[in-house]
Amino acid sequence: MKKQTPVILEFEHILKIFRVRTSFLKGDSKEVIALNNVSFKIFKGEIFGLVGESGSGKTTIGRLIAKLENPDKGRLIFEGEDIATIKRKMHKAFRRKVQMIFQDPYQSLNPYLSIYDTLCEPLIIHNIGNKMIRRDKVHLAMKSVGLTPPEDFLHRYPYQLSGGQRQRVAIARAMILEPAFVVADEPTSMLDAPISIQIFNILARFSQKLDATFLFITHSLAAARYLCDRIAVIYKGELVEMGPSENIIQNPRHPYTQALIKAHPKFRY
Amino acid sequence: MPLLTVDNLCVGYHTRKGFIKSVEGVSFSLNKGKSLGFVGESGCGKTTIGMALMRLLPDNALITQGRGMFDGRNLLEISKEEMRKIRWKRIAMIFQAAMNALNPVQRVGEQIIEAIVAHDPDISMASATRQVEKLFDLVGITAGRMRDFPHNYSGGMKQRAVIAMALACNPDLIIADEPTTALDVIVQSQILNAIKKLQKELDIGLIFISHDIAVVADVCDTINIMYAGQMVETGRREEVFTAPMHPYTKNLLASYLTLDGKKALPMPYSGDTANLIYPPQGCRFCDRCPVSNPACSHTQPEWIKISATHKVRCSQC
Repeated sequence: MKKQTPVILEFEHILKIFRVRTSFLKGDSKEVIALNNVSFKIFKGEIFGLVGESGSGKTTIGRLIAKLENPDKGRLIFEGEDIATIKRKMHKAFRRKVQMIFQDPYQSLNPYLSIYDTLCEPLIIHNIGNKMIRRDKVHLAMKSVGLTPPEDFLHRYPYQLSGGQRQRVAIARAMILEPAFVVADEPTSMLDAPISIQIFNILARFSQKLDATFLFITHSLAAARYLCDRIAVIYKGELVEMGPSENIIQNPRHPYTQALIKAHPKFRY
Repeated sequence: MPLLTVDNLCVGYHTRKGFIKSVEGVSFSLNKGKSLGFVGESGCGKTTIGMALMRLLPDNALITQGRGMFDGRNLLEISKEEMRKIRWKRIAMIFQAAMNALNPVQRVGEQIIEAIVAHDPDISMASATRQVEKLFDLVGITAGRMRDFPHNYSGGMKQRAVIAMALACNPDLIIADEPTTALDVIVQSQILNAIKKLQKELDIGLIFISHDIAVVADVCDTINIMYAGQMVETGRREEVFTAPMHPYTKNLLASYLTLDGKKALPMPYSGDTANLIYPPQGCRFCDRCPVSNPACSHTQPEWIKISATHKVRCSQC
């Protein structure tokens, strides 16, 4: 387990509600409490796992961190600053530090951009370097995710890559800005087991080399066990259990965690 | 006499880039009441096998060789009309994320009644309704939910409704293609238990297709490991999982993440799957295999018998 260093991210009593239209014609709607009084801390440099099933609120947590949603109550503190108070002109600087890797590699890449342009785009947006420097960074990023030689891939378009390759491009794109914090939302749930292992290894290597902090969102307790230092279990918008991953797996306290472990297919061989 | 015997099945797809040889030389048989699992990564051909047997392949697909003998008839050659009579009544299929196949504007109970009546036009509404009640009971949905629409059901309930629909005409064989992939682990566990229970109670033959070895290990007596369109290992589940022979099977098992056992990320193997338009002359796993030798790349590996039920297709075993 990594040495505990400063807190990089803190959720303080976060409440998030979504309004859902229940009737098409009458305009009725109801409220869905996606996150209810959620509080936790993530330490700099750790790989923090958030485990829950669909509808638990785990993706909402990721989206709040990436500022794709705003909380209704509570504070989200990143590097000591409440992100709700970040001024408009500082938003871009925030986005450079906080990146997201999405679940669906078939949807998260712009089909009209070549792989080279896909990786260059964040550098151009954040005015990093000149053409030469960007080219070098793109090549380095490709190598860091194992898409070598880069020349074989850079001119291609997403449709010419497999799911695993696309996800590696998505990771390279997220990491090329050398962010401080990465939200990886189910990065391997659409990929087969052997390919998933490759992706986990890539993420683990980035965590060590760049000292970046990762929030790994998953429905798989087993995947979280392998990749994460600490795990939080979320159920119906509430955190029910949190602690070092091995403790959670060996000694689950909450009935929901116990149910998750019990339901996991036991491979008896 | 086996329920189903498949002999040297070869299927391909015409695409702009060429003809993809998606399934090559697959042979297996299944006895009544037994379960057979197909395990492999996406693109290995396992879904194509199921679709070929059900004659539900898309227009650009072509069955180039093989026989699928069911009840004395070759499923791959009978007319569309004959197949329509067999489909659902004798062989039913549960598709991946089949819950999305439920008609969103029709009550769930009605949809299943419709399936029953389509295959048994003389049945009375009362009989059909009673049958649906029995089926719901079998899959664990309360009869009162028959009048609900699919959107009132959770994902797990929809999948169970789809299983009920597959059972509606008392088929002899069910082909289930990734029936639990879109579901959460707790619901998955319930569905797998329901499938196992039903299979035993109703003595139905089951072909279970999945990329998840743990799920297949839970449900199936016999396992077929698929790689790049070919079967590379087959045997009883105990044999394949405790004494895997093929390097790919070993790798597949090593990639499985457990909640117990050693906590260390397994070593991945490199590369991506073989090109199926121009498949290699020799073993299709050669490029990624840790124990291959030069001969492997130009000679097709033969089947080697390990036991009466366990065999592997590898020249290094």
